[in-house]
Amino acid sequence: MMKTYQFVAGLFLLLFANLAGLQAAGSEAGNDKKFDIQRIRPDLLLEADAVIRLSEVRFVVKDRKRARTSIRFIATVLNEKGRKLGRQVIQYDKFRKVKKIKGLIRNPDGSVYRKLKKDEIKDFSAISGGSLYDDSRIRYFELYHNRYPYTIELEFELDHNGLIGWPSWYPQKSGYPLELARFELIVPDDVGFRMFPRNLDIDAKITERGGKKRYLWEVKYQPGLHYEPLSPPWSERVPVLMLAPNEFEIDGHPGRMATWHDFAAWYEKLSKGRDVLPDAVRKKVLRLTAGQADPIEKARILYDFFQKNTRYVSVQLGIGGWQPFDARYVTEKGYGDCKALTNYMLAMLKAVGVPSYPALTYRGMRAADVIAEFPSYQFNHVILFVPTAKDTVWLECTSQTIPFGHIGPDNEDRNTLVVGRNWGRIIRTPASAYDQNQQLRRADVVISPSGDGIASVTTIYSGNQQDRVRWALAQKTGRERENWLRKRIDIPRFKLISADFSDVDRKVKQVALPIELNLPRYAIRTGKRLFLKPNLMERWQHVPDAVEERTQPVYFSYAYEDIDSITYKLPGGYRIEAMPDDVEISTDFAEYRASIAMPDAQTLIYKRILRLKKRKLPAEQYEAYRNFVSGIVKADRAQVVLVKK
Amino acid sequence: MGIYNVIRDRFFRHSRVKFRPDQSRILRSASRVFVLSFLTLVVATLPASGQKAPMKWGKIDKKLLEMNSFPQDTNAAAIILCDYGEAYFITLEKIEFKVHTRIKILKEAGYDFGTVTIPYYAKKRTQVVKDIKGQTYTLSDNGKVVKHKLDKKSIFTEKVSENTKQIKFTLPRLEPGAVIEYQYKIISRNPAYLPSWTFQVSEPTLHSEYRVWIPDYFDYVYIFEGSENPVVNETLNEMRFQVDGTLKRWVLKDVPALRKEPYITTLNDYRSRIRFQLSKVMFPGQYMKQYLGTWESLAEELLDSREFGKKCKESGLLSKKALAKIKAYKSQKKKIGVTYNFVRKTMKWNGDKSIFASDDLQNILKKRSGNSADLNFILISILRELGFDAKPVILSTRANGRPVRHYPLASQFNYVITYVKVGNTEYFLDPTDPYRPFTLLPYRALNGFGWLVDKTEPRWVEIPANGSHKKRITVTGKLSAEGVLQGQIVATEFDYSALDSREFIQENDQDEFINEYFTSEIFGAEVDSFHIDDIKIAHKPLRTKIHFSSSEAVQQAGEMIYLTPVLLEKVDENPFKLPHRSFPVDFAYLYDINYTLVLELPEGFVVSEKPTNIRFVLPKRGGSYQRLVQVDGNKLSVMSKLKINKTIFQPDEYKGLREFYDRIVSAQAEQVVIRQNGTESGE
Repeated sequence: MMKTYQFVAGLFLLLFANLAGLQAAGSEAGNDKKFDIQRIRPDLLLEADAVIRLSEVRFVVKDRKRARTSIRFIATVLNEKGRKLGRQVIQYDKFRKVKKIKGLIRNPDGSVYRKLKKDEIKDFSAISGGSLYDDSRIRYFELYHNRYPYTIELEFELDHNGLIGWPSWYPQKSGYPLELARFELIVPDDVGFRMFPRNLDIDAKITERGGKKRYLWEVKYQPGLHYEPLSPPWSERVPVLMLAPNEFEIDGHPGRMATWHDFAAWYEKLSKGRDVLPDAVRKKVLRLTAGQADPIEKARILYDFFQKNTRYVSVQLGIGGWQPFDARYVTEKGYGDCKALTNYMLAMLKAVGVPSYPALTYRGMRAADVIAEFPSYQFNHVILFVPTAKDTVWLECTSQTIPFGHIGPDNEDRNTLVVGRNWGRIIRTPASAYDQNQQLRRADVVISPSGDGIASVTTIYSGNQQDRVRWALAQKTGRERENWLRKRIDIPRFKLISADFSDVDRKVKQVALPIELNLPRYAIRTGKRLFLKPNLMERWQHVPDAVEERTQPVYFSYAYEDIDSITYKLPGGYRIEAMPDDVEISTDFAEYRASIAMPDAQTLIYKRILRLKKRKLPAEQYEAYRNFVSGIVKADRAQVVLVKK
Repeated sequence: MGIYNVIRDRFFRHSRVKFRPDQSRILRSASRVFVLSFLTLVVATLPASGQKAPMKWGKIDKKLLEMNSFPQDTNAAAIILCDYGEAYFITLEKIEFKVHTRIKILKEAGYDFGTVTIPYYAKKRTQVVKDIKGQTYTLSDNGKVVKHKLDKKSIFTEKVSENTKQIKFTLPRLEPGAVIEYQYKIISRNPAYLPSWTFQVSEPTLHSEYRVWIPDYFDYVYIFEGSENPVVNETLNEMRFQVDGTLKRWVLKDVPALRKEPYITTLNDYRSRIRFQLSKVMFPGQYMKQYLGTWESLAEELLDSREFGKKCKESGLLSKKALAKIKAYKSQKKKIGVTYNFVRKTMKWNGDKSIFASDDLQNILKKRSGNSADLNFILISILRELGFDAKPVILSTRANGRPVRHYPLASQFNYVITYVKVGNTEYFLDPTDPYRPFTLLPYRALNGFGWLVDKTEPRWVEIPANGSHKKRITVTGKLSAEGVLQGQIVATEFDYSALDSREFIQENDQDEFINEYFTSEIFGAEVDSFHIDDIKIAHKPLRTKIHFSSSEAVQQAGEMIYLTPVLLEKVDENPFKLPHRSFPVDFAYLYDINYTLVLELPEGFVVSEKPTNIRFVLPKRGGSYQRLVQVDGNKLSVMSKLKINKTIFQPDEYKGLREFYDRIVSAQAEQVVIRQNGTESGE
């Protein structure tokens, strides 16, 4: 993990929901007719659970390392579903101190019902699940009233001492309608900065006073954003104004970020001298790669050694959120976070003469891409970029189980900032094609005259589909693995006889998972008939919801391909009474084929192919995708009817 | 304890309640009702103090490192080689709790055991953690034992909340095959805190040992739970710092792993562990101080306390006018119902469970939100003001574990509900959910027994599930020759079924409810119209009526139509997937589901083949399933009835339960074959 700042690319959505600033209106906690609910414009109330009355953020920059964020947020909650607007999470740490917190609840007419008491504000450590220790903490409180409607109002300030980025302003990013969002930015003239708006087209009012410029943006009267299934990541969807300083300083480490080159130089300086292996390890890696000339083969050998000798443990303190622990630390402890482990792998490669570079990125299956044209701090992760004359390899260094050269769906097809010696450049990780992410299944099923079945099934997962299985199973043991499998076998009644998980423990590019199943009454017998569902275990059942007017493009995690070939041996003495037609659905983004062949009277071969060829579709194709899925849902449930001769 | 740390600040919160004495003894888990008196049973054979500690820091057998599998449990990712703890009084005010743990890591999945968390109660330095040491043993390439020490700088202290902290560290250089060991001490200044010890964790344990030395001035109750027996269980008198005392020692060997299974209350109900409760303190020349008392004294202490008893009789929570309005109702039941509804609708439960009030009730009313005790105390106070003899019942929720019923231990309770008796009718109330009628208790509270806090006659009372998951569904419809099914669904839901649906509607909306609970089950169903009655009237059944049509609910092939007649409430797959089970299945309440289909066939079609009528039962009337299929002219009727008649199924009944569900899944998958009259030729 690399430290992220929530206002840059957050985890706590709630915080954004409430990013609003102080200033304005001069409403000290008193009765305030302005927030009488009668004054809400009626069109905003249509189907609303709450209305955001005011969302203000004020960001006052002092210099490259000091600033203050002031938030003011007022919302009228109309029913239970709007209640969560009253919940506030404020994250803070060594570089951000919470200055004051105020909250109150107003009656519908704007009069004060009650004020937030100090003892209602809870303080917790906010060490994330994957982390052993860091210095993040949160303050948390909730403003709540059981009689709707009511209005909540809250204010707080954060004092920044140490800045790596500036906050982004999200005027609106929730399903609640908005009356007014304001963002005020005050910057001394000698502090350079840049802006990058996305899905937002408004100009600031700019005023100048005493060597400072004041920028003011306002957004008024907006309906709530509505969610559409399979949308792009929220941060690419909602309006945002991103900001970045040209110079910054955190924990005594000044840097520049006007260009990627500048920012890379800062990161390189932080890492300088940390890639020296202790002598014993250096000798060991030389020994391991002795006689090997090909740099990729060297990397493969060392990656295997690296995976066996390290594990991921995250400790982030102060500058440690950005500066890697050195190679000696990882050697002694056998662990580190993404920065330390990437640096360690880099150090090993360096020792055998293979150059490699850290590549900063934003990891996540549905994460927003790093914006290449806006140099700023947009990262939460680092991987390793190994260019060689022959080929380029990317290495994810936080996993003990991922195959060499595979970086997984949460790293692929996105921008990274590669930190070179004296250079920094945006380089994109490769995207995988559908035929690289396969699930191939072959099964033989013998059906007895009573309808019972015995199945032997082998499923081979590759690429990103392989990750799914490996992530779920690598850290589990025998019985837990079987239980995981049991939950995922989509057959109404079965008994798992055996399963071979040995591929999960091998770091191979494909995972084959052979299983044996007993299928009591798989073919349902009624009188003289047998009903058989030829699709053994790959059934689609849900069509995504209809959307009146699709506005967002359609996003999938990755392209892939599922192929099932199921061979049934049928009991003698039956003939086919009903048989589903072959189905073929073809679009430019996906294909589906289901067919049945009977080479002889007792053998039935079912074949199903599903290919999702594109990862992103334009909004107009959402309906086409829905039709595609409903065709599959229908075809997947088809049955064969056999009747006694 | 060493590897299974649980914050016990619960105890401190509750320790303001004082108790009076009882005799020291060990008792077994409440479910087993197997009490053994320590004093009579145990004869010390060896002087325990002469017993060496089961392992020595830094000395391990190389064979442990060479071992790479554990045939007794091939699923094991780690083995607890030895977990050793001592809790000794070092002065009359201080307990030193020392832990030394050694673990073999077999697989990467066992790395979790390499990260240690030690929570402690840090307020006013009540507890202090010291002398942390740790190291990892690995084998080098040439087969030598290598030690890797835990770096002191990598030990972190995290402030968890106002009063609690935790220490965290992770051992270096883990790899499959490595052995780790660590030690630490917790010094407690409060003798009420004698640490408990857990002998059983999620991986197998070879040796787990706990010793306590207690000055004779202190008297504790011992609660031993779980199904594993100690191989050593001894006690002897021993003097330390010139004070007479008792040394006790428990050893468990070859304890199997305890792993999670679905449908249980909490794993802790089955875990082998020992817990302590201070019962009395008798310093020479001073009065005896009672901590654990009788049931009567517990009731008295609770009822006298500011956060409990005093909160049950606050007046003025309701205006005189409102009180008079409630009093005007003739029926007592109505008065209780109206009061319950007032609290239920006005107040929002904040999700916290407690047996103590969090604030002044007036303030709570103003905030309109409080913990479970706050809401019940408001209800009790108002009921009392109305003249009812309302009383609190304290209990332990399902997730908190089964209570020990032999000793008056306040610390095991985490929840309070309201009890009122009118004539011979007993009411158990809990106004914490907006859609739960006053006759019904929440799922979390359905944990067997609760304890009625009554001044004169405190007692255990059975917590009733005054309702079941009950549902009646009728589908009537017409099938066209083209295979289009047109019909109407009428569903009536009672008790927990209605509660579940009302909560779903509240969290989502009506359309989603109709889709999720009904139409998505019928393939291709389109809703023409629907109506839901009494969504907000919690005490009434929830009625749903849906008009729908579907052209894909049946399969058509030439002149044949195939229909799976159980369209709704179908058990699509067996919920019990595991072949074996070591704990009871606990459903919490009973199930009673009836489904009926009345279908008019298209003109000229007849039923050619239909599933047979079947009925099968679980042993001891534990449950039954029945399906009837009838054809009367062009009318097909199908009835499907599922009943689960008891809430708890023991492990030896599991196989039967699993098979029962298997048979239901098969039966409901059977199909009706309909054909055009006169087409079935040549057969």
